Amino acid sequence: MRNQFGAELLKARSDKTVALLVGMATFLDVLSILGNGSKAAQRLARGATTATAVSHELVRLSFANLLFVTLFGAILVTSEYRNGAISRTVLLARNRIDIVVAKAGVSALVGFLFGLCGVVTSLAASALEMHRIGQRLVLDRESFIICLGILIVCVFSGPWGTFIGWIVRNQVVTVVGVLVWVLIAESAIINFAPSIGRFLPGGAQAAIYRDTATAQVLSMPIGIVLFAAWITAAGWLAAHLLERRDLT
Amino acid sequence: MTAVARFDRFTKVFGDTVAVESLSYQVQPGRVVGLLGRNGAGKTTSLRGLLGLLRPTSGSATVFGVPYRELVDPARRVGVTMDGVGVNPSYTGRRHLEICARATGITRARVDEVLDLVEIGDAADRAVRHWSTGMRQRLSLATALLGDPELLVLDEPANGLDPDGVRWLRTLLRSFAAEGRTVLLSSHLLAEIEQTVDDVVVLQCTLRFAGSLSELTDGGKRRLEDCFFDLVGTAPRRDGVRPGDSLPAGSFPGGHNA
Repeated sequence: MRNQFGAELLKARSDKTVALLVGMATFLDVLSILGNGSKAAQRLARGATTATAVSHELVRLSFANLLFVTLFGAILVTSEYRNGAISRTVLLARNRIDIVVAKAGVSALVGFLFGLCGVVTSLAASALEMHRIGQRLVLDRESFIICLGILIVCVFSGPWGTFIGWIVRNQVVTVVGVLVWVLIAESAIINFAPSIGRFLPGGAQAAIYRDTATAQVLSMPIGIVLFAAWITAAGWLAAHLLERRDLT
Repeated sequence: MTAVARFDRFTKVFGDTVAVESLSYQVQPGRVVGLLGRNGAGKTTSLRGLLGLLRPTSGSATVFGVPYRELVDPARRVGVTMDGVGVNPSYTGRRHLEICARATGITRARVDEVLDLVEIGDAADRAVRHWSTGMRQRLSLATALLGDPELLVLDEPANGLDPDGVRWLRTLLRSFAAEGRTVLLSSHLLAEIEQTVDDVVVLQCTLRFAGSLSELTDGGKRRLEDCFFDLVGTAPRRDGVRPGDSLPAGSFPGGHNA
């Protein structure tokens, strides 16, 4: 298992996918914070919100990194199906479960990196933006919990992505499917049927990073347990399918 | 003596297509065995079944007496080159081998050894996407040799190799077998196979022959190619001419019949 993990880590370090996705995520985090900061300034001027609420709102915006982590996890698996390297990986491994666990572990580690980048970016960009609109970034207990939630959700989203990759296998279908599901389908369910949507993976993720904009959002601990349950179910299915299906 | 590889009524069906039907043969230690057949005869399917990459519809395929996935340290028992067992083209050749070595607990020094062995050391630090087909084939062989295995399973290993490469491969395989190790290779290059193998398996969905090359060619009195077509039959071409029939003068592009 240690060897398999080392090999998977070496793969992640050997191409530009991580750097590319971290760069894109950071760029979008900054854009998003700057855009929302301008709107928040107007609400602050009208007295419709407080500096504390705006600070939490801006810091939370790096939650979007979870999408990039999910994509990274999925690509870690599906790129090997695309170029045929998956057969070599399987031929060299002592057992297939080791591969599933090792890839999930590496994507969790990379998820931590994304989470850390997201938190640092959001704190720095939020402080600059608050300063620009004549306010001071409020760093209280809630801010700390939001940052912790972003870290946790990014760590969890890596394995989640790899398991989706194992299940779907086709890279284009996986990436497009994840984007359509997260950005359109799941968001629609969460918004229009929150009593159902809050139990979906996206609902659980929203609970973890304490998304107050989501209706009927679960508590953070329940979100963690629920997302862990989704990940466990997907992991079991991924391992089962890898054992059962032909590698073509 | 335990067979190094054994097929026992191995059958694989894809949808309505029977790729391999009731294939049974054994590969004995220290032999170079050529698996022959036309394109689509089931060579790659049977080898993928042997390696556990495909599940047989019925029957079984084992290496060293067990299914491949039950081998404790597979990279040190079986080396594989196979079409479809790819490399991430963005990696350098060296990095690809380092990843394989890391996965199997093999030292980095061995990476340099196999790079030298297959004579691609000079290109090792360039991305594989810039490599020729022949160089990729050599990289695949280097990967197969990384664990210094007892058995090599090679699917069309001469594809993409130039004449020097083909000769080099033949020498490599013969010296590998001379050490008491075993090679199972598939090919449709009959002339090349004839110079390389001890035993022959002819497959055309079903097993047509399994035995020594000498036995098949009557001690070398007959050409392997003739024996092969006797076993599998000649396939009619689209123009209705069967391979081996004499062609009208000028049938070869821009030239004359030999």
